[in-house]
Amino acid sequence: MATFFSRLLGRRNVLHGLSPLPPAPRPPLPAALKSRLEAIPLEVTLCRDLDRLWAPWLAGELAPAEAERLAAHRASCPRCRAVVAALAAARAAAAVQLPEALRLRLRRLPELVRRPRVPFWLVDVRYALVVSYLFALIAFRAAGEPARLVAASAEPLKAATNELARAQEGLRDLLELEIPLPNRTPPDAADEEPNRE
Amino acid sequence: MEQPKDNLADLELARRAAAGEAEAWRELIDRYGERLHAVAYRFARSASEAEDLTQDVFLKLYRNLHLYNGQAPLMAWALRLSRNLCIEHYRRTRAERRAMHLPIDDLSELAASDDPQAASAHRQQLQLVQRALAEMSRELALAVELRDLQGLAYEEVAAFLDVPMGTVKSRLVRGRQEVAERIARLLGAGGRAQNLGTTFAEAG
Repeated sequence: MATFFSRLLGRRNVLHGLSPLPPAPRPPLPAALKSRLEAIPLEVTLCRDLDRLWAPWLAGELAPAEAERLAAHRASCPRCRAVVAALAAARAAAAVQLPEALRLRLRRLPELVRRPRVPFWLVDVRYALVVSYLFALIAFRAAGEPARLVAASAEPLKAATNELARAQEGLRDLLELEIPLPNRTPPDAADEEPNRE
Repeated sequence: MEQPKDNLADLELARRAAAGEAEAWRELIDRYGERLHAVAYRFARSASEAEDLTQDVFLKLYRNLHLYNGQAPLMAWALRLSRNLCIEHYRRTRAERRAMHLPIDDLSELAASDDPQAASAHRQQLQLVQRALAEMSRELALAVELRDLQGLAYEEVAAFLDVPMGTVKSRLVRGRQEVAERIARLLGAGGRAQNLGTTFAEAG
């Protein structure tokens, strides 16, 4: 401010043909401050150059020499120290552990999912027989084949059913009508006898 | 094409798990659960949302395991599968969010038990990073988050983002530069920059 006015006054004096005032004495810049200011371009470029390296540095991916250079800079530079600390905190925070309850939930997932697998009727021969019988039945009907073919295909099953029915009747007769049992058969074995025939 | 050995082991594991072997499925969860959960966390707004999203990811994984052919590592393949689920989820909930979620609340709860001052400094640091990332383009921010914060491999990041590896690398260079500069600027903008710096000096 003082300099500004003295210059202004000086100019006016020149304009008026008078001798200029001597310049006001300036306080010298403290040496420490001067060197700090001089270092600004260097620091800024350096920090900016290192900015993209801190993440790999934190991950331990840099070559030892370079890692050392960064560590040394970090020790002397508050700005970069703060940046690295923030990045490190975010890194640590990102390492979310898998909650135990979720782990158990995930383990049970397969039980809840119907797997895209072999159709159920191929898994078991019994299912296969039933399904093929039904197919045959439908196919014959649809093709308009004589009923005897259908009947013939159903014959073994029908025969078995009849036999079972007869056996059941026989058993009921034995138990309900109290038909005397043959003497050679012990009473306990009576239940099984009709089934065996 | 010849497959690397690792992928063969992955293929074996995937086949066993797909065949319904409980042991293999458990191993798969132990190996990849944490990282897939961490990625899901980024796209969710709360811990419970992240858990549900992770379950969806694993459900999809289980249903598709029989399609895995071992051409990429299983983790990269799983990330590729999870990508759409995460993005869909993010879009569904975008209207209600301001920025990507960092698990700040969960963590500050943990830290609060120790030293309240350290906990608040920690919280500030996380908020700084979160703000810096939120201000950046999503492309760059996501690359930095997946690689540098969550520690995914380059190949895995590429699979998740569905871009070539070279793109991941160039995004990372720019993203790292930008995130550090933004953090530094935010630190300078807040009057507490100096305090934070000294706190770190003491802590570190």
